[in-house]
Amino acid sequence: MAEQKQIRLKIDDREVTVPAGTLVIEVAKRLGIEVPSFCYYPGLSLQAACRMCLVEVEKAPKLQTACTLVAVDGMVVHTNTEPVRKARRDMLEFLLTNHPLDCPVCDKGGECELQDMTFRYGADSSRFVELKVHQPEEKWSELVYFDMPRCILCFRCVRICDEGMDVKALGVGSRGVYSAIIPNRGDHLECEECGMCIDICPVGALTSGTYRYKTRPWEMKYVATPCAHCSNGCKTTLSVRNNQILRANNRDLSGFNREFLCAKGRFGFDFVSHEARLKFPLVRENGAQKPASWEQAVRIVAERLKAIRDRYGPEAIGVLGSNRTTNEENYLLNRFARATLGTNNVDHHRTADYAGLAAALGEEAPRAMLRMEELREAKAILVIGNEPSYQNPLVAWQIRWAVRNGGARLYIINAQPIKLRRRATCFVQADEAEALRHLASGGGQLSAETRHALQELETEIRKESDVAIVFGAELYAKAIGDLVDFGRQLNGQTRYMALGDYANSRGASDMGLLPEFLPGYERVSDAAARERFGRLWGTELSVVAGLDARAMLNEAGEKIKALYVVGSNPVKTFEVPAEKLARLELLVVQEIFPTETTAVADVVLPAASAYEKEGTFTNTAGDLQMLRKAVDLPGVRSDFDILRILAHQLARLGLGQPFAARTPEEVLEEIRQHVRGYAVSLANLLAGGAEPVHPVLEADPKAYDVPVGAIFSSRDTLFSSGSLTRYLKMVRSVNEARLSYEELRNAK
Amino acid sequence: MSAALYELKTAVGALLKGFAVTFRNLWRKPVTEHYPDAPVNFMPRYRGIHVLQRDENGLEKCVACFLCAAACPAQCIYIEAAENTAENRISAGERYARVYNIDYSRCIFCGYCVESCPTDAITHGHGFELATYDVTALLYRKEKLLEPWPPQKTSAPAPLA
Ligand code: SF4
Ligand code: SF4
Ligand code: SF4
Ligand code: SF4
Ligand code: SF4
Ligand code: FES
Repeated sequence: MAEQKQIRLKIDDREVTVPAGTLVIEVAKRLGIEVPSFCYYPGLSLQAACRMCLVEVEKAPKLQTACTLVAVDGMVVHTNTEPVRKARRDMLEFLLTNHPLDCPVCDKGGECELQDMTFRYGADSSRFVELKVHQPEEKWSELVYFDMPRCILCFRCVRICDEGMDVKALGVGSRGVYSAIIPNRGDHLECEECGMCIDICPVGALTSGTYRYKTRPWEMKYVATPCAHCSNGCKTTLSVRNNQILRANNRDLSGFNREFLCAKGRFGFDFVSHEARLKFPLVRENGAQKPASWEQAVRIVAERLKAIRDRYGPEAIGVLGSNRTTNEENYLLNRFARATLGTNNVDHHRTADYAGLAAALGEEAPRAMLRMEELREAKAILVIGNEPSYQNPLVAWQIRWAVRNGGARLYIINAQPIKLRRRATCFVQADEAEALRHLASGGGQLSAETRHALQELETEIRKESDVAIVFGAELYAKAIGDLVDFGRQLNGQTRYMALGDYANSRGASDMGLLPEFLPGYERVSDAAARERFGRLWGTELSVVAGLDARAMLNEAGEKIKALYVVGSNPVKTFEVPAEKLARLELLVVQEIFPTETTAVADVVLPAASAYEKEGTFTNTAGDLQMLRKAVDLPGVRSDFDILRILAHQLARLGLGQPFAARTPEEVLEEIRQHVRGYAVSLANLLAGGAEPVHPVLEADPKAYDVPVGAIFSSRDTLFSSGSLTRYLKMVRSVNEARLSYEELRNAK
Repeated sequence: MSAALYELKTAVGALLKGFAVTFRNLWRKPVTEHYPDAPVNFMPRYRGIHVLQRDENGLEKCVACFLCAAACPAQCIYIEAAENTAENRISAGERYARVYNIDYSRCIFCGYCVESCPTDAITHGHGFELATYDVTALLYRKEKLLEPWPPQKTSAPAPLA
């Protein structure tokens, strides 16, 4: 982009140089001068509704609104003169004309912008003696409540819902003092229930159904940690009081998601304290699961694993990992399987072909991986497959931001008319893999019409440079090769993001929960890699090719005699009949909730959830972030601890080595040193930032050997989150949650 | 001689002065409190055990705003809030205190809570008999702090306006 013209202006006698086109309010912010504002919100359209930001500009006849005033060369601005102070006082007096000032009961009290402004700039009394206009509070949905008298009509909510969310569920009705925000269905909302409007409201007019009247902001401690649900890795700030999470929002705006959270990140924390949580180990005895102590349960698991291994050999044991456990836990599970048990039968529910993408990119990976933050700055975006608005809400938010504020062009290829098409420059409805084949090599089975549409898209996209490509699980193996071939033909540096399903889907893959890969995608068949990890883990690693998840499940009771499942529900995800798993000699499940799989397990070990432990998650774009522990649940143990204890127990039976690392940090250190792409700097990570990871693989045609059906998305919506879905009481309480994926999409 | 006389004069003078005070007070009402035989008389602003007040309809005045807990330098006030519903209306506002505890093993009777209360819900009563052998008994729950309803004659005095 061309160098922007710089201009000089003076604010409160301080000279400053800024790029032309900057708003005066932003210039003041840069100088650390506060210009009070309500309706101004960076990234949303300008409204100039509240008149709180009035400043004096020399040579201008009247006070000007700093939020709409573009700085020009030689401008002289005063933000703290008597006319300005008086204007602020008067504006606040107007805003408070009908305001109830019931701060003691108002949820916003203590963190209310109106309170703060009145305290700082307001008058001590009001000249209005008229009766205040009052309206009773309205419940718009289970999650969104509206208290009209508190509203100061800044229209932030209307704009965030329209421009930010592309939902347009809020509008303004009536005139004058009777003006009020109204929901799209008259008396209630039908929307995405993201709660963005609640968070962005500067006052207590919009309140959250989950947090209403529970406590006050200064009574809680705040824990910022990555969201436990989808793969986008939003930072959510959990508000904790008395070992209970009371709300989640984006208080510190410290994540790459900034103000964004979807319904799950904002309201989907209540599973943590759900009464159905598993709180003690269960051991099957004479056909029925009975509560057991941790000592008993772990001893039984260790003894039986050892016995099965001795009798049938290590290949009779399978290990199924999770999309939600931390990198450290995945790494340890990998070690547990390959070093302690000695089997390569390790897999997880793969929701995106991260290995395929890394292999296709090869050396290019560090430059060609698209980070979540970069997506919002992209100038041209190609979305292939997936339904980001529902499956990857932050990705969709970033794309909308890029289109809205950066003028990005959006190109979409999807078999379904996904919601983002409304913002697209070009949308082609076609089977994704076929379309790609066509783009890369001119082949593919497509109708003439689709081919024509694709050609148009291609012509346009070839004019772009630095295209950001975002794709779903529809593309895997060979199709990713086609994609990267196509991307290489485009101008500039093409970057890619594969979209997976869950909080640490990417981490599970990177940490090698795949039969053929050690951590960092080093091949099991590679003797040097085996040797290196073998030395690290104190044993020789097996070279016998491992089974993938489907093969393990198919062989359950046949070749596979024992299955060790961590945070996964294969009965549901892979649709294996429960009876089949019941034929195993040993089924051990580490889980946080009862599932169809725990029901047939021989031993169930209750695990801690993502909000109850430390460690790291890698989001789908390869941003590594640290988890912070918010609460404790008595009885459960982190998957990390469970694996450690079990390895210790097995070592006592003469199998493998106990794990020396006692904390996730120690394992992270090992990961940083030994896993390709994970040698990140700790400082930023510890400070709560995100660090990019990108394992570099040698170009490897074998990477495309992925069986059909090995990689698939669960197609979660805004209101579902895999096996956690049924325990998300608040998220499930809204009407929209009852709509199916197709209905939800078509409702819009 | 004159020295002895002077001595005597000052001694008698001092005695007379002293007894004058005694005699003057003989006719005054005694200030002695005959506690525990008789109830104690308090100055109206005495800061004793707190009383949570009710409004004229018997609803609790406290709206669980947590300001008293925030103001308390001894951090001895613990509150859990909940929302009033049509079926279960406890206070006049939207919120009420589901739990309201004051820990008298920590309270220093500074009166900051009373000062900070926007609804005049918490007041100092004139209760002072806190002695106990069991320190946990010093944790007073809302039920114990609340003004009884319907009002009883013997309850704490009305809050200061
Ligand atoms: S919105 Fe702010 S000023 Fe208004 S009642 Fe609530 S806390 Fe007080
Ligand atoms: S919850 Fe989200 S989608 Fe619904 S009205 Fe608010 S901003 Fe719009
Ligand atoms: S509800 Fe809140 S965000 Fe919306 S206009 Fe009113 S004050 Fe602004
Ligand atoms: S977009 Fe994903 S990571 Fe972000 S809040 Fe929603 S579920 Fe959580
Ligand atoms: S007693 Fe008063 S200050 Fe304390 S919580 Fe209740 S209303 Fe607030
Ligand atoms: S912030 Fe400028 S008018 Fe509202």
